[in-house]
Amino acid sequence: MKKHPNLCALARLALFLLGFVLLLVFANTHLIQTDTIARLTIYEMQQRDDIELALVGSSIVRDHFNAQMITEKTGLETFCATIPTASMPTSIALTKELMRTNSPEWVVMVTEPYNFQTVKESTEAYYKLAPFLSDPANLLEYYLRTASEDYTYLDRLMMFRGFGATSISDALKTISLRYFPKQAYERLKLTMDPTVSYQGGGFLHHETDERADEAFKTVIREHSDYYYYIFDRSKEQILELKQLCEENGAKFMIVVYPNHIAHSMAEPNFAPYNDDLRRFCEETGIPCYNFSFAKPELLPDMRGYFYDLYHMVGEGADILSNAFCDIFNAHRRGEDVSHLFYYNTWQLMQEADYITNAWVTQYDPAQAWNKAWNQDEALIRELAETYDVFLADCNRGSNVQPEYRFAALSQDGSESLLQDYSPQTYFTCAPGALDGRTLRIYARVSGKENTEEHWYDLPIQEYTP
Amino acid sequence: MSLFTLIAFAFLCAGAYYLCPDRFKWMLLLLVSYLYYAYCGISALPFIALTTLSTWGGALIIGRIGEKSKAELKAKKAELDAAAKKALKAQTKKKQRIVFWAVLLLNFGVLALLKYTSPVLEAFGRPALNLLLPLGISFYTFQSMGYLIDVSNGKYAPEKNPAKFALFVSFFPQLIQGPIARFDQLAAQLTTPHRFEITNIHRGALLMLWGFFKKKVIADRALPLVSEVFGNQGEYGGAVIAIAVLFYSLQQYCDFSGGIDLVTGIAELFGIRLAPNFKRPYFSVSLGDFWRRWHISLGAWMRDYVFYPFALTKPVSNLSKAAKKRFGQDFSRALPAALGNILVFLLVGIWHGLTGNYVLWGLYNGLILAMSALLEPLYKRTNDRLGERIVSSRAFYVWRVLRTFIIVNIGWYFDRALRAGDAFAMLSKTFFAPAVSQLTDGTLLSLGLAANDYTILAISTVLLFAVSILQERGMRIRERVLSLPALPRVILLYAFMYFVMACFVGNSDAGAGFMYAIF
Repeated sequence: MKKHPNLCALARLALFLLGFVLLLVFANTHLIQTDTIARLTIYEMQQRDDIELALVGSSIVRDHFNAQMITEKTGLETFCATIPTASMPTSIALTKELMRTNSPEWVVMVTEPYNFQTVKESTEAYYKLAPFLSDPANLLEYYLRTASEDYTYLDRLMMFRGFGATSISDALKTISLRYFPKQAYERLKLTMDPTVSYQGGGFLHHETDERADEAFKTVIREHSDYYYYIFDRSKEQILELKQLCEENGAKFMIVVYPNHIAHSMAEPNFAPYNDDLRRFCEETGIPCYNFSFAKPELLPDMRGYFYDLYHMVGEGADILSNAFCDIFNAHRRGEDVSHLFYYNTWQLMQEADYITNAWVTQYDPAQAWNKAWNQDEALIRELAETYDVFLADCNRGSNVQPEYRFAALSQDGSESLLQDYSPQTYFTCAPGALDGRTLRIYARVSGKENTEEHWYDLPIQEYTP
Repeated sequence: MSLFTLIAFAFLCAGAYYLCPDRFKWMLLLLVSYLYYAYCGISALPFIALTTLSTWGGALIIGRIGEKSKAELKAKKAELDAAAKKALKAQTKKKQRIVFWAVLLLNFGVLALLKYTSPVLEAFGRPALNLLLPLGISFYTFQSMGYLIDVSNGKYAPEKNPAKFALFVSFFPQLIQGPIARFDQLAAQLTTPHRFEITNIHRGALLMLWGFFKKKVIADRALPLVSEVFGNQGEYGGAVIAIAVLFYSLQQYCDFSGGIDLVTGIAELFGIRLAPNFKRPYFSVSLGDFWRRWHISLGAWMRDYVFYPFALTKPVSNLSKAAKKRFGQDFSRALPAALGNILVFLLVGIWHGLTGNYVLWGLYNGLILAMSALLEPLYKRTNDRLGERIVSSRAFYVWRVLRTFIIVNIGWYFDRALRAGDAFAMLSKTFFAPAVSQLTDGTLLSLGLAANDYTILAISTVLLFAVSILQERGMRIRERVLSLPALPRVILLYAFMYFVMACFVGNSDAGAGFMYAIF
């Protein structure tokens, strides 16, 4: 046969490029960072074929649904299929991966309003899942679905650029987690945070004594034009996930995670999200249980269990898992449990008889928004012409009447009372009188005995309008 | 169009080109060039079409007037006396000039209108107009006008086929930022069908990779620091400013020459050789040498169409003669070149933008070149005194390169500053208020670059420098790489490609992110 030089050269070029593609694939799978818990979760999921109840979602599932407890209480082998920061595209890809070796009876998608702020999927979630998907078609679909939303085609194609191993030990960790995940975890556990432990079934247990009280002081009710409606694209993806489950003989359910109520109070714009989700689920026949609307008889006040703004410690996770089992079992029995939930945000706020956190700000007439609601603007503006004005506000239930106490802290920490508890939401003083000191605000529910007292510190700088 | 899209587009077009029957190949190039331009901004199409049609038509008319005149002269050879012949020629020239100036003014007028209306209005306190500045308008206008001048000077006959001329104006790789090609060097290459040769693909792809490295790994990575310091010069001391100027040197060179490497590589995929536009300018031994190595095609354009026509004008000749009596022969000989350089660089400065800093930058370069021309005899005498051994020594060469580098970098203060006042303030701080402590107090890590970025830039710059030295010594890098045995070649290429893939900075815009696309 006659040898064609150009064809041979082209073939060599193609071979060369193929080699480089393989090099990139290697870099994408072996020279990147790996999330230890995500890898353990995916590995366990791929090894199992007995999962009957799968809870799909982000770290809110991983940290709060105790798979072992749910298995015992429901009688269904439970698994939390999770990737931190996952949104809908990751949930779909993860569920498809789950279905390769399992035929669950139920798939429960656990969500929260933050999952629907955008239809885009973060690259952080992508790099944790993509290298471990075993089905190339699923991987390609996941890649195209996520990249087409935010045009990060290259970032996702070349994950080693954004999430590359930063050292040889980092690369070795990835390689060992890839091929020997359990052994690698046993070794890595020695250097990991001892308050966190992977319990199996995709559940991560947190034992820390730390609480996010200080962090919640920053959850201030801001002006926001953003309404958490669910995008049509997200709705399409929910329906796609539902269809995927149905095609694989699984029933589909949505559960809304109970974020700390301070978020609901600080961001009233969550209300449209909840209403939208409820309407959507009613229209499409998807059972949906919104645990952020759970009444105290189902789920007690969970505020004391948060170790950060969004995650609870293991104790809180057990309480939530327990409540979930009650509802899930009741649903399977066909019972109506609607009496255990408020209908909407308005009802929830009506019933909340407490304050979650308070804050104070120095009034600045140049600012359109001074982080304090329901103030007498005209009065405050007039006062500000003569005095320094400080405005107090708090996150609270709709019927709560707050009262505030203002105190000044000296450098040595001693406190001097400026204005005792009263419904007055502002405090005035001579211009500059508090400069260099710290103003502390206390807030409590008016007319309620044994009420919690919340405080917030505002260091006062020299004010230069 | 992002750089990746451009590269993918280029390979697709090259594939289609070689599959296309020979006689349709140039048409395919024209089609994809217009598709590319339309993709970058369809509203700019009428402008390139206007330039194409007016230049093609104008050159054709100029040619026909000339031919008609020749024919008339030939036919009436016996009837016409010398005076009548002269009158006919003068009349012909006049007609040609009318057409020539009409086309020239129309095209440079459109360019000036789009480029300078807003700055002029702003200078007079009026709000700027949001005028469209078509991608690469300067480059295709310069290229077209070069053709018009050449035809007008009788250098070659006008192109009769408007589509072929349209391809010369719009050939997509060079459309964004040049190089500014000459019709007699490029047009035939574009319309001649090229056969597939794997060497062209190898060479083109290698050059594209190198250009991509310069642009995306070095230039785009250095950009945040340059933008931060030049944008907020008041916050930084002279030492940080000097670093920013050095970074600008690097960024601008890698952006522009990287882009040129890329487009030259793309053209090579089609078997088309574009004229070189850079020749390692930072190894220049004088400012004149620098401008013969930097943006070569613009320099040549200015030399042929501005410098020489100006230097050979009657007033300049007269001035030169007058100067001979007062300042001597050496001065008289150098005067036209000195004045020509000032004019050329003033125009180049204005081409960059109608602001004080650009005008000063142009004047700075023009004046130094003028002084160099006038002082040439003095330099010669000094070199003679130093002796051949010193003048041809490596140390003297390095000194001349460093001296030129410093002169060029002082010019960059004006080129990159937002205002002329900023450039003077930055220069003053560099010499009199360096605030050296900013080099160690963490300021360098707050300029938009992390420690990792500095490391990548350092490695890349060393690599660029090493390759440039080898090229300067005459090594043909691509040929050398392609002639390596298979294993080391593959390892070298994989290592470099991996480095580039891991370290490039991602972004995208209509001009593929090139600085000069907006000129």
